[in-house]
Amino acid sequence: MSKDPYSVLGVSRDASDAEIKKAYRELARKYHPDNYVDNPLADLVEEKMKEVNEAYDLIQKERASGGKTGGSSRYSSYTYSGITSFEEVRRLISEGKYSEAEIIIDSTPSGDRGAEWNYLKGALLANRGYYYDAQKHIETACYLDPQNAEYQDARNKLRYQSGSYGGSYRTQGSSNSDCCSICATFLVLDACCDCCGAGC
Amino acid sequence: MFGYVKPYIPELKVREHELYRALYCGLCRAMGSETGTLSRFTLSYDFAFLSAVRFLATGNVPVADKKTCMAHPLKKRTYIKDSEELRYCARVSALLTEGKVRDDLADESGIKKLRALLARPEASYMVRKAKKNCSDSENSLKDSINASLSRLSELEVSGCDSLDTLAEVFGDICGEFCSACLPERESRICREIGRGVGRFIYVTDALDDLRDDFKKHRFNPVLSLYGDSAVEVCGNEVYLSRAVAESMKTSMLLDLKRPAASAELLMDGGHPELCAIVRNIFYLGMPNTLQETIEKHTKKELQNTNH
Repeated sequence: MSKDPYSVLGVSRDASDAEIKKAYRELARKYHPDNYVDNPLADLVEEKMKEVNEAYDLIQKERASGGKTGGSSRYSSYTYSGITSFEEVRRLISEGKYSEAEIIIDSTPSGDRGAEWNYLKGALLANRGYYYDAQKHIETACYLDPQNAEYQDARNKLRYQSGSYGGSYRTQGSSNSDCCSICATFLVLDACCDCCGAGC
Repeated sequence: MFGYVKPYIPELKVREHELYRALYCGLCRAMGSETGTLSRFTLSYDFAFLSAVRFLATGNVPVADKKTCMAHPLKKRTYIKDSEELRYCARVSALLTEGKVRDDLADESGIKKLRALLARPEASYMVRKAKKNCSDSENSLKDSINASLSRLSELEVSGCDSLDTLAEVFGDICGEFCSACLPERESRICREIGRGVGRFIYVTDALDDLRDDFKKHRFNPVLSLYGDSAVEVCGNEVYLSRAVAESMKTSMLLDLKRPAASAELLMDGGHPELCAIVRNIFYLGMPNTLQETIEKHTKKELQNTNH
């Protein structure tokens, strides 16, 4: 990949670390594999995600001049500086490394378990089918940070998926609508017959 | 067992309802001969559901007949004739009843303990009688069920705050006995059905007991997950919080997707009324039971008055 990492992330060379992080986050959210589960373009998105990850890594490496907490290390050697930052977790999630993400999440000291912690924990739980716990954590995230669209989205997504339970069974259930449409069709056909003057 | 897993009758066709009743009656008879007359008192809707699933899994057709029933002597009732599917359910029911009695003996006190004490000899008899027809894999069921129940007990005592972890243990128990003695494909499908339905039963039961457990400072899985936000105190009375109830509904429907989808795999060319009964139970019956349980424990909305 010969692309300039800064242009991949859409930032200028002298962007601050915070800006780089922000740009990375936005792209990670945009190209997250979950959004493309049944999409035929999923492989293209995967490529894009890889590109974004590599660009971010490269920039981190370039800028790392020692003393940088949680630099470019990907695994549990993530040193906890007390600043709440879950970049590592989000990155692991976008790479599908859910169990590693969960290890980091679970080792977060209880003092740092705020809205984002709850959201990420909830997302990981939902991913492995622990829906009761997931629901609770995502709701806690929404409660702690009511303005956050990402958390609201997650909660709405759960509600939407839950609402589609038994989908086709429940809509097929009432045969009334079918009768009505059949009757309506016959009425129209009947009218047509008369119009043609053929008389059936 | 608990009676949470049952159909939503208003949406059953008449012939489906008749088959369901016949399964229930057939189960009663099977329990009578397999595990003793008194075991019939532990007859439950949950096992009628299991018998429907087992018939779909084996592909055998339930055959109906009419006979006079002791409990309903006025008119002959249609029942499903003796079959291995019903006998199997009878034996498993005895096993679980014995487990419950033993649990109650250990955990409860007062009148409940007395009841358990009195029920114990009968429960043991039921299991001993059932043993005569058990296959080897069934015999190992008892041990694995007991091991899982102990594990569940341990988790509850330690105040586990993950509802899913707890529900999963109970679900696994149900998965075990739903799937035993079946060919591989059907066994795997029934295991998933059992797991999902087991989780449903565990959580619904927790919701049903929540208010009492709160008042008596006892462990409750839902209370453990949500903490005090699960209850609303209104004057002297404690209610299940509406917000938490709605959350539980969302999670539960999500949780039922997998077992429901698994059950669909059994329905290709399956007996139409049996399929309809199982579908009704999954998509209408269980959500309805949940709704009823929630209504029972949440505060009634005040009527709006017009002035």
